[in-house]
Amino acid sequence: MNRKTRVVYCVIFVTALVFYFLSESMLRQSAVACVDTEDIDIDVILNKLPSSIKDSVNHTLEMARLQEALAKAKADKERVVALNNLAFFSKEKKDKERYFNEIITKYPTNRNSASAYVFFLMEKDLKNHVDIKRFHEFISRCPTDDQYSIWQQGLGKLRDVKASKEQQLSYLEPLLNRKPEFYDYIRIYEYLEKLASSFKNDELAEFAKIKQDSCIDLPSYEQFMMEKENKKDPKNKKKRSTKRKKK
Amino acid sequence: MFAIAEMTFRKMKEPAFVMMLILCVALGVLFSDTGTLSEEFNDSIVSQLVSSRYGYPVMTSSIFAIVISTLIAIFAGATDIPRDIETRMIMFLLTKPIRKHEYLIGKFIGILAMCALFFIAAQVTVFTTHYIRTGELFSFGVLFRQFSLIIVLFPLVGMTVSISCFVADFTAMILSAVYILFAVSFSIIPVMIQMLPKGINVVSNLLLLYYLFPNFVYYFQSFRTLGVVSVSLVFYSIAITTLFLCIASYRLTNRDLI
Repeated sequence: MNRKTRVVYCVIFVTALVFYFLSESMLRQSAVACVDTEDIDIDVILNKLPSSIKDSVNHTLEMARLQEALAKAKADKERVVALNNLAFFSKEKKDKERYFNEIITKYPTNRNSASAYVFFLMEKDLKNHVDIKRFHEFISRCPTDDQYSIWQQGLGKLRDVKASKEQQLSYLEPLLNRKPEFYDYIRIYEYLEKLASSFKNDELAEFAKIKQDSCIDLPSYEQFMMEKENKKDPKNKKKRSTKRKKK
Repeated sequence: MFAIAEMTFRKMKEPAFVMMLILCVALGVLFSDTGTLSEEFNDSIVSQLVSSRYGYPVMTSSIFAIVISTLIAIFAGATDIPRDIETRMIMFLLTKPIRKHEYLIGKFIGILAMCALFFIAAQVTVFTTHYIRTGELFSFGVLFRQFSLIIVLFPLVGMTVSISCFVADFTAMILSAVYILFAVSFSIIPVMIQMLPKGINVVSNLLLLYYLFPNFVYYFQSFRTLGVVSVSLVFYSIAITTLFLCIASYRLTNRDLI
């Protein structure tokens, strides 16, 4: 095939392609104009789309809803919760970073800011990087009820970033100097004992074992929260007890 | 070029095609009692799309005529060129003063004429039977709308001819059928996406895939006989046909035909 023929083919092909896209666009607009979209529920439209597009649209709609919730939030607690929701729902890491940045800079002492601290824990590349010391400071400011889950989240993060055993040990060590409130702490102390044994630190391992024993008679986290709820609202406790009597 | 077209069309004399034509006429008699296409759909979106809000409605019998023509396009269009290559007939034809792209266009015209014959036969049978049974003749607008669907055959035949330039006859038939099924299943997606509220931007690789298939839903939507939509539809059909034939011609020119 000579050059002139190739050029002719290209010109015809490109011209046809341009007409194809233009006419397709016109036809799509006219097809939609035939349908009264105001009366149609968005779910009906989404059900006809493939799952990948449906997920993408649902994600966009949910993000829009969460943004609206953030715009309406007035109190600090509401704003932190809204920002947390946006961060959890975002797929891109840079979007998550943006929301958690706002939480950690504007609401550093709020009890709901734990997720932001966990996100920035051991992330040296990020602007608001949180080290173990700063994380401990945050935990100490949080109420007792929340501390267990924050300790667990922090430990999970350290494992995810493949922190060294020394770092994990230095993270968990302060727990040896505090009194556990729930039975669930036993798992953390078991892990601490295992870490200490790996460093052949028998004294520390023994201390962790003592702490484990002290957890045995404690209520579980779930029981503790139920009792707290009952103290707040005694009517619930009465309802539950009458139900048991009827049985 | 027209000699090639005539030679292709003369295959209608073969018993198989004659029987298909008789069957087409018989089925046309059976389908003559069907109503408009919008009545067949319970789905509100699709029925609104094909309703006769603007212009004239599409009858369900026209769908049957298109299906028959599609089958002919697949069986004849997908097998003609591969058989010519296999039997070395193409070498004989190309010794004549005819270029490869003229041979291709001649084949396209011939197969298009065959499909058009089946389409027209089916439509005429339906309307004639309807007139005989009810004494009612459809208005000129309705008849014109049904016959205007013949334009669907252009991209269909272009596609089958194009695929037949790449693979053997049986494979071409299967690929053509699969391609049409994909095209039909993708058709409603861009219309649905266009109906989503503004502000929702859909980014998906599926949309790129959509442009590889002609959208047959556009041929059945309601529109005025003479307007922007009808002109766009003509350009759409011509553009798709040109694209397919360009690809086919390029392949045929560069392919080893021995």
